Amino acid sequence: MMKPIMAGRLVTLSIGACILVACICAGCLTAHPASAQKEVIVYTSVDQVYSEPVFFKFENRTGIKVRPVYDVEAEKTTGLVNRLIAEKANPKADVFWSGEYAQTLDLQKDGVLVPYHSNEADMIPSQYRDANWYWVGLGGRARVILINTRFLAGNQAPGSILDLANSTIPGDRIGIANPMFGTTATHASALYAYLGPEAARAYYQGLKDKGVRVIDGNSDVRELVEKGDLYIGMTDTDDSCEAIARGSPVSVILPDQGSDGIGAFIIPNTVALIAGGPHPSEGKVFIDYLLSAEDENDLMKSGWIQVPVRPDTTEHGCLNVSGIHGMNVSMTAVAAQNDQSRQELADIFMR
Amino acid sequence: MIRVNEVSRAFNGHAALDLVSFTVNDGGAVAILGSSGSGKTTLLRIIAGLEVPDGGEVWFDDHMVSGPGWAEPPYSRSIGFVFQTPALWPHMTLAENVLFGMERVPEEERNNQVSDLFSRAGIPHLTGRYPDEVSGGEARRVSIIRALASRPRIILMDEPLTNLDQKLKEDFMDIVREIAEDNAKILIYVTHDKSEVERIGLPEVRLDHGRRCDDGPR
Amino acid sequence: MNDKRPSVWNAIIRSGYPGYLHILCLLIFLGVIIIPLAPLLLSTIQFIAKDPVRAAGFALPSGRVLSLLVNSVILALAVSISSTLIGVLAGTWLWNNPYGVRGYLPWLLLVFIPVPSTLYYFAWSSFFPLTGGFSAWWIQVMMYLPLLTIFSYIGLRLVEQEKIESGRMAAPDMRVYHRIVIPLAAPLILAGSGLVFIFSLLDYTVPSLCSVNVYALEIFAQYSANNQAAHAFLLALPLVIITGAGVYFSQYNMKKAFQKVSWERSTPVKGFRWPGWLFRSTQVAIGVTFLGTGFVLVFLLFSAFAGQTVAMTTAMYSDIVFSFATALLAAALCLAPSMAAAREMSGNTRWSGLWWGISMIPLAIPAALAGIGLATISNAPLFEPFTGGIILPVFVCVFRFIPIAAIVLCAQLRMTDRTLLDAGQIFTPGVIREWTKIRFPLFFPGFFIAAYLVFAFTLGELGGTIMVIPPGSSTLTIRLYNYLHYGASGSVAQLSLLLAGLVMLSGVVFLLVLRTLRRSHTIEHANMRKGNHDPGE
Repeated sequence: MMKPIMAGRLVTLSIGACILVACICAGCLTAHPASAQKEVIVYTSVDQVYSEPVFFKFENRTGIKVRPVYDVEAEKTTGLVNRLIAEKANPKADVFWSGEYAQTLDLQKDGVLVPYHSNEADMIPSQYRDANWYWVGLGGRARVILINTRFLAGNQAPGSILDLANSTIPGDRIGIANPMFGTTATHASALYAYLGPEAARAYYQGLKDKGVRVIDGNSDVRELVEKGDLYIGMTDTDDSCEAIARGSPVSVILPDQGSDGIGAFIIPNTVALIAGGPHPSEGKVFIDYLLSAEDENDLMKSGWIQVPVRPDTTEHGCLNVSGIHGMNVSMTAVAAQNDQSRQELADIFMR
Repeated sequence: MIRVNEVSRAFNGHAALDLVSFTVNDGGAVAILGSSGSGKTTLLRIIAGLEVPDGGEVWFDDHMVSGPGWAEPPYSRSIGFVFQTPALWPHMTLAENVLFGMERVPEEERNNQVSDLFSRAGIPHLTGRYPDEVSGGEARRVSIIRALASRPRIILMDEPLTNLDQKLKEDFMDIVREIAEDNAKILIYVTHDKSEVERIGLPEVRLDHGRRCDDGPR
Repeated sequence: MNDKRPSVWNAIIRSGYPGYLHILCLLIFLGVIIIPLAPLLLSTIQFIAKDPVRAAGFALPSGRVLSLLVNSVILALAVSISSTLIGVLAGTWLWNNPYGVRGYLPWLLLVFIPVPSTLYYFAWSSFFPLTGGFSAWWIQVMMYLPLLTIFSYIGLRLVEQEKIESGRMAAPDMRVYHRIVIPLAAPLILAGSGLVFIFSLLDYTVPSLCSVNVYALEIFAQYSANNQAAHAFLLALPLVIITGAGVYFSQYNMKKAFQKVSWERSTPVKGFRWPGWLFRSTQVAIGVTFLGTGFVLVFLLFSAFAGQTVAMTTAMYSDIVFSFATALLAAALCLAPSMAAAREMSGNTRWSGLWWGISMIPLAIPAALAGIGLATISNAPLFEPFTGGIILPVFVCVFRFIPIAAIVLCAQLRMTDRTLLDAGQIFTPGVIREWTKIRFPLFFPGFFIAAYLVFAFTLGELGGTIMVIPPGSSTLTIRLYNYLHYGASGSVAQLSLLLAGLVMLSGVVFLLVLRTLRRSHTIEHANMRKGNHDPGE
């Protein structure tokens, strides 16, 4: 007869082995090898909370299964772009959907993309797409000033981002996200392109000298403004709308809207087809869907985008952006300033 | 027959053994005598296959079992080993500790042999105990039983009487004497205590700083 | 006499264990470490060959970057020293209270390992404005204090009872504590300090949240700017060298610390008389330690129930299963190669230091770089069958956490009585039986702790996983960070609790397994006393 100690060990080890085998099988099942069902692989830097519903709706509409790979802001947006470049010789992705465009232009420069002219893109203004159809912009966000109304009245708030360095508000009550990453970095490149490198550098040096706080990311800027740790923050419209939706004591200012203002910097989403992707046909179907009026309305309603690019978009976001005066600078010109702006901003802010 | 031929071993540049040779014939016994650090335990471990010599050879009859940089596994050498500590496995009972090494004994004989050995050692009531439930002397007896139970040709003992009281020492020396007189076994007994060697009556191989320092046959 | 000398080949085969199996596991271990780094090293070498001056510029920091490095080292030292001082006192409290429910408290500290560091920040920043170096120091101390407390506790527990008692014969308890107990426990305590120094030096998340610039963030800034892995790798070199020094410091102390004492024989201390100030200090220290984790737990609970309940979608269940499977597989696959490495590390040869150094390399490499290396290499046609599945995420986690498994198993080897293993070699036929009957039972606690730690760390891993996760799959941690960015604090809290719950559940399973084994022993012992035992059955 087996001894109790042996029986106990056998039972324990058997249970452990069963759990291990079950999990291995489950893990292998949840990973998706190639299947007979049509599918499209989308790499996206758009927040999962916003992009997932788009994928579900697309699947229901077309029967094409979407297999997404998400990026996370904690990795400072280095993740997905570098993965796409690393996979260039043997692409795994079909489509790249970005929440902004600097990364997309980097990918174009690295030869990761292939042109695709979608019929849905014909209505989109030419400033929001590549001349050779390597990528197309869809609705996006604008860079705005968010203020806490408990501490600042509307007339105390600056009307231009250029006023932040000269504001009477103490520097430690003003915050921007880290200008080395994300949309803040793109915004900095835009200022370099629009104002010229010297003026842009002087502007950021002014912010640094004033003691403006550099926060980790746009959502963190929003949080601190909501709490009142910051009175003024520079962030994106989607973050601002979240704060408004929560009923926080905040107000959004579309900066630089005067006739002599430089205009608010608008950052469209971009979508592109990956060269050599495994499912190019399905990728094109997805791009067509993403660029459609229906989808732009959905993204407006969800709150991911606040500034439409299609003239036939009917949905309104949380902000009134009709007639918004955008910064007149081409996306290509902005991308050309990336290297210099990041190097100089690192010198200014990272010490 | 065991033949140790110019065995050398160094640790971190220090020579623990230096060209040591000796021979033990079938049915014979020898004591390896030396002070601490003389290399006697290292020599025993090389014979057992637990260490690999840097130079020299170890032969069992006409079969080479260790050479420079290699050694056949210990189990393949048919040896019983009594360590300085009892070295009983804590997750097995005393009986299981003994049974474990009895692969070479026919299955139908094993249980009886275990009972017999425990009785002869005066501890028949301890078969179901675990090592941490018995005294040091009792554990030491079981370690000797374990070494003998597998019916090995060669018995190696590494200072087995360490930390035993005088009465136990006397009892164990009787057991060792019995083994030494068994013509079917070869005994190699390591100790630093010359009186033990004289009491048991074993020929000596003396080591000093890793070298043989007696005039006995190589 | 026949002189039958074996051929060299026969000699190798007949040497048996530790022969081919050990070598195979060592090769696997080396492969795990080298494979992700190979593309990085190759691109770095190509870059150096092409532009050596610029390469030197990256590798040799100067000016602003040098001052960043110095500030980062200062912060890491401050975190390490503070955590050590408080951790020793907290570990002393645990050492002095080993019975009953309090005896399980050390295990509770392990539960929060996979919780994202950002949550510590958000928990504390709910009440205090957190910006600047002091805030970064505070948050990191709160994060790493449990780890140092555990190291201190284990170091104190491993001091042999006889050594303490012989001291208590000759001197007052307080003198015994600081002249005997602490010095004997010091190696393991210092080893923990070294690890915390490394973790703090490589962490950029918390300093970034506190608006403090650190060298680790500079690496990412560079990487983000031009996507050149070689530049980032060269920039990381000074960090690798400094963490290598930290690793050497840790492993040197760990080698000293691993005494030949079994856990069971290191009986907890009884009846120590403490002076009032020390007694209260230890109470404060343990309070601070649990405050750090308890505070996060309360914050999570409050946020979880205050916010909207997260709908458990099919995708979320899939994330949970995938996370669990990855963690279990990583834990299981780590064991054999890390045991082989641990054998080399625990040896008293001149090569053991080299093996320590090799084993600790993954600790010094930023996670994203490891992921990029693996993603690059997986493009090769040879590795095509392995993409699209769970293997690559498992691989990157094995790479990242195999040093931890190797350290734990090295400790286990050092603490196992060598003669028991020798006796196993003498009496056991064959490698497999020796392992199943002798070595595995003896090493079981070490295997289990190593597996549990790798499991817990894998659940919280992000940087490497995101580079190699197959399309359509996701982990709970990736989803959590996505929600974090979105600002869904309620959802984040709920997911974090789920993550902590999985780790806690695993810990409970682990403890139950150990208790089952011990209880079986007790039943056997009870049966024997009733005369029901049949020897040799």
